[in-house]
Amino acid sequence: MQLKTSTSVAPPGGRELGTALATATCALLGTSAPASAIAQDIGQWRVDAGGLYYSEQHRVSDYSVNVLARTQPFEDRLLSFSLSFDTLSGSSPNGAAPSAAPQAFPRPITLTSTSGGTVATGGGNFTVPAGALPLDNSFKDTRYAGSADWQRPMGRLGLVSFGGSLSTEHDYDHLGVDAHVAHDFNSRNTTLSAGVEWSDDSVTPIGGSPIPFTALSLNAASIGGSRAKHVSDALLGVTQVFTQHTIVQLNYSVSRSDGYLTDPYKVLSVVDPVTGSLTPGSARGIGLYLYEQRPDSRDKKSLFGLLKHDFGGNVLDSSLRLMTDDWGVRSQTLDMHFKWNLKTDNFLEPHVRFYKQTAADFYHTVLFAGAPLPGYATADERLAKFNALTVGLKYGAKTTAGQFAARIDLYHQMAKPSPDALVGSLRGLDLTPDLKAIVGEISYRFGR
Amino acid sequence: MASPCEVHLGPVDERTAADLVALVAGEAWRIEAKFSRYRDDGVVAEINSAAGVPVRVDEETARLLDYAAELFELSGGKFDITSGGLRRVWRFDGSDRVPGADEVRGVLRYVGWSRVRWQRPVITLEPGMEVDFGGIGKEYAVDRAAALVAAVTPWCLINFGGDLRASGPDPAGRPWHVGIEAVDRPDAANRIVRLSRGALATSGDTRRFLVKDGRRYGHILDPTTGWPVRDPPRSVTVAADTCTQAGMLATLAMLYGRDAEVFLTAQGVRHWCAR
Amino acid sequence: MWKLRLCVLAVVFAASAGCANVGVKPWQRGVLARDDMQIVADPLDSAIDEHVYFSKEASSGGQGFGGGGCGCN
Repeated sequence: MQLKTSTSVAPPGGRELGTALATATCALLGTSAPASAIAQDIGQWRVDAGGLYYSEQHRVSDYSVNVLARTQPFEDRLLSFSLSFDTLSGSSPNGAAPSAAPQAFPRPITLTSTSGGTVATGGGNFTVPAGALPLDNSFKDTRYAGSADWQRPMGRLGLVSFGGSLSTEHDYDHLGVDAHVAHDFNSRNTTLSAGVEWSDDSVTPIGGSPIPFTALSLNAASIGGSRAKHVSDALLGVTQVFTQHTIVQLNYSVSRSDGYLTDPYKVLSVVDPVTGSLTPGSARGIGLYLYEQRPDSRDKKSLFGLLKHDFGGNVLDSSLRLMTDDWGVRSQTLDMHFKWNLKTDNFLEPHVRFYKQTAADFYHTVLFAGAPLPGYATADERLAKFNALTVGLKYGAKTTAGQFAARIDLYHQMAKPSPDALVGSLRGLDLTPDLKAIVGEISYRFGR
Repeated sequence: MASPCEVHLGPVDERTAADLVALVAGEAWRIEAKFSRYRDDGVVAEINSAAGVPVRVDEETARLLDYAAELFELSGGKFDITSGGLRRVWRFDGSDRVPGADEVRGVLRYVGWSRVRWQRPVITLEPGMEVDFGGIGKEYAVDRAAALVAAVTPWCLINFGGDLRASGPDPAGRPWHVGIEAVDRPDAANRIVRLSRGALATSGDTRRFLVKDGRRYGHILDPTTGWPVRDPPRSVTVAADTCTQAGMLATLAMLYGRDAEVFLTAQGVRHWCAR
Repeated sequence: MWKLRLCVLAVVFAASAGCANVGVKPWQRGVLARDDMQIVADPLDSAIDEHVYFSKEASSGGQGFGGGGCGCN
């Protein structure tokens, strides 16, 4: 069964009927010509598209295009799709710490067999000046991701949705499925929801996955092939309407990851416990850097609360998230947006986000020569103790076809090294330089 | 009106709201009492039982009859308020009792506005004929009610069973969201229209029909032939400045059968047809 | 720590069960129906932000999930 709609220009003759009808109707109703109707068809599709530019000072840049499309084949069914494409380039910290002396890092040679024969990549060194944070600039990647979600009612007061997602990049693939249910109570003022998700990911590091705690060298031994990672998430939530202007949500979620959780490209510097200078490695002029290792499971628990309040047309959106996991990381996130309507069709939305996390138990800025090796270790700053602040501003304006928006967010991450890392010559160095990034996005929404 | 009727009002106090609802309900009942063919005390009963005797009608009825006459001409005879007579041989009860060609020819003698003598304010029907305002009545009532409310408050939407008119959007300029029911799933809309001002009316055919020898006979009858219209859409919704116009265009579209969309496109009105 | 959290959660759920009289009537939902008052007002931006923070921090999710992993954490 098809639904057709059209408003093309009338051929000669057809219009006469319309005019005569209008005149006759005026005569019937005893009124003069009424104001003309304004009826706008809301297309069944709603599409949000955004182009993103992300750039870290001195480090990584990312350009991405994201599209989210939603349609309601019927009033109570919702189908959504998303597609995104990212391209990442630039330099990323490799985990080694700054040193008082210049450093050189070998690029492991990897042999890849292609249709044209075997190709060797890598080889050679890249050098880092004294005091600088070592960054590996061979970081280039392209990622494609997509997801789909289907939502339908469940009984009169509930709904259920099923979704799937997948993504691929040159060394990482992901496949996931999720399901949610929700039920309304109390005249739809209270909603209880629950959801689960399973992911099946696989990492295929370039050059194979290194053997943990072995030294970074031109020909480091590695395990070829893919490594698996599985993630299961569960969420329980309650949403409550308090007043005509206030709505609150509280969610509790748990997440368990199993499998290969280590970053195959990151190392830790091994330094002298007294002087802080780099321990010599096996090759001449190269220090000793050991590949990291993380546990093969991770359990996270989060408590999330959201409050939205309408102030006469302007909206305050504020949320707090508390997270803890069995790696020793505890974090708090406070995120606030205030949508300020300038006129009916434009708005400005300032944004501020405060984030704080503790270091993982096995985070070490550096390892010490002569000390026994820990079970797990990483110098990845993402698992260090840090505070982060985001400030941003978004501007939006309605247009005939939808809405246009542009925003900028400035992100500043300030990490602290492990307290025991400040030995000898390392004391005078900035072992965990701040990360500053800018996020710029232009987006357009079509449809209702 | 034989359908649920609603009034949506902007921010008015409870007293005014009650008064306005009473006003709208009063107008709806007045029009129903006066023009319903099911009532034996209204104008329609008076005209239909006159059996050839001229009947003098009041100003409001005269205007409706003028309108019906005009529409008869404009539609080439497809819109005809005397077509009710066809009901004598066509009963759409889902059975297979389709009338024969003779029966239809027979009943056509009692159908046709051209047989009516309408000389304002006097109408004379031949014996056996009848008039029926069913095709205009509800939409007319919506427009009348809307006019009464508009005199008091600008933000209002009147909805009589799917024929509706909005006198304007809310004070913040936000339009009304009107759902168009999906034909095979009642109570679920598969199309949403943002109506700031104007009217929507729907003509539908979903539930009354006959089936014989595998052929389905819809209940929209063409008064010029006496037979059901070929291939009408299952539902037509039209947006227009007034509910009366919207309803008329939707009805005419149905009468054009398989050319419904062509007709509506030629009129240049926003429309939604489901087949 | 998690015992405390479990208690908080239990209290909150009990409180919301007792919230049978808190809320609004169906005809009072005009403001709540606005796009910007939805729990996730801008799903595209939320997804983008979630991805950015997930790749730079140790935390993720909290409000929901779905959408995919990446090799960035």
